[in-house]
Amino acid sequence: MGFLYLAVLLLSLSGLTMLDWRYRLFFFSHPVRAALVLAIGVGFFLAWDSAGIGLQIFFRAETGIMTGVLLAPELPLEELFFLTFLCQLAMVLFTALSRRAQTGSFKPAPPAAEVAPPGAGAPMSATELTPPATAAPLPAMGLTPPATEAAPAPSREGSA
Amino acid sequence: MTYWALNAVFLIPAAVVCLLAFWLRRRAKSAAAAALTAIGQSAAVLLALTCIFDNVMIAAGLFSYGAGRISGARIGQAPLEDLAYPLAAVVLLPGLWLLLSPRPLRPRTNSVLPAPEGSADE
Repeated sequence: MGFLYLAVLLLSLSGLTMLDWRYRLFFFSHPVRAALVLAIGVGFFLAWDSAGIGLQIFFRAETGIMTGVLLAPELPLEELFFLTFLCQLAMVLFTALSRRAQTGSFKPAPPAAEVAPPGAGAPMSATELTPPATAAPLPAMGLTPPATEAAPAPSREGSA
Repeated sequence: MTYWALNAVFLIPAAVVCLLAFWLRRRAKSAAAAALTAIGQSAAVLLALTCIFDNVMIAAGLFSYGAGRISGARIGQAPLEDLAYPLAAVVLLPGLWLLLSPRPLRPRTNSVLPAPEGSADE
């Protein structure tokens, strides 16, 4: 009976959560969507594990660093936390690297630019200068508004 | 059933989810390119971490493998098959994340007001 492995996993999870909080990546950007992705992901990997255990591909070993609590035969409690960690690590990496690929920076955009309410699809700064006579921005797309021929260079959201 | 066959059963649906997510966003080319870049970079990091820490976990005696079920190809102590887990994670989860995006896809009814030619979806 030991708690070392569980403690290491919880420490790793808390580190990821701090990164998530600091950079508003996953749960701290879209909590419901993140919870769904994480739940489906962990369920998927638990099914994978269970199949592997059922097929006798892998076995839990008896060690002194695990609690010994089992969720199912050969499936230790720690595996749930490991799979959660794997899923969360994948998504923190993906969301951070996506943002860098799009904006050139890991840092979140300033709130005004990022939390534009869906439906407020009007071109951002170009509105006052050139009324969008033909643009008719598609509502609720939440995307960068289409640039009209007449409009000046499209303004980029909060990117440097 | 071998470990590779088991992996295929789970890797293929993961790949399908991801391909579906990209197919639904095929018009948003720059966003899709950014997501693809991020998946590639995430995969590189996660696979490298797996090579290290899977060996640590096996050395710590957390689990073992059924002889005859694994191919025998190893990276250190870790069976090559174990890399299917991180690979599935960086394919399935971003795929789900994109599918569950709060941004509605372009409604068909808006096709009467087509976006100007060459406008970049993002």
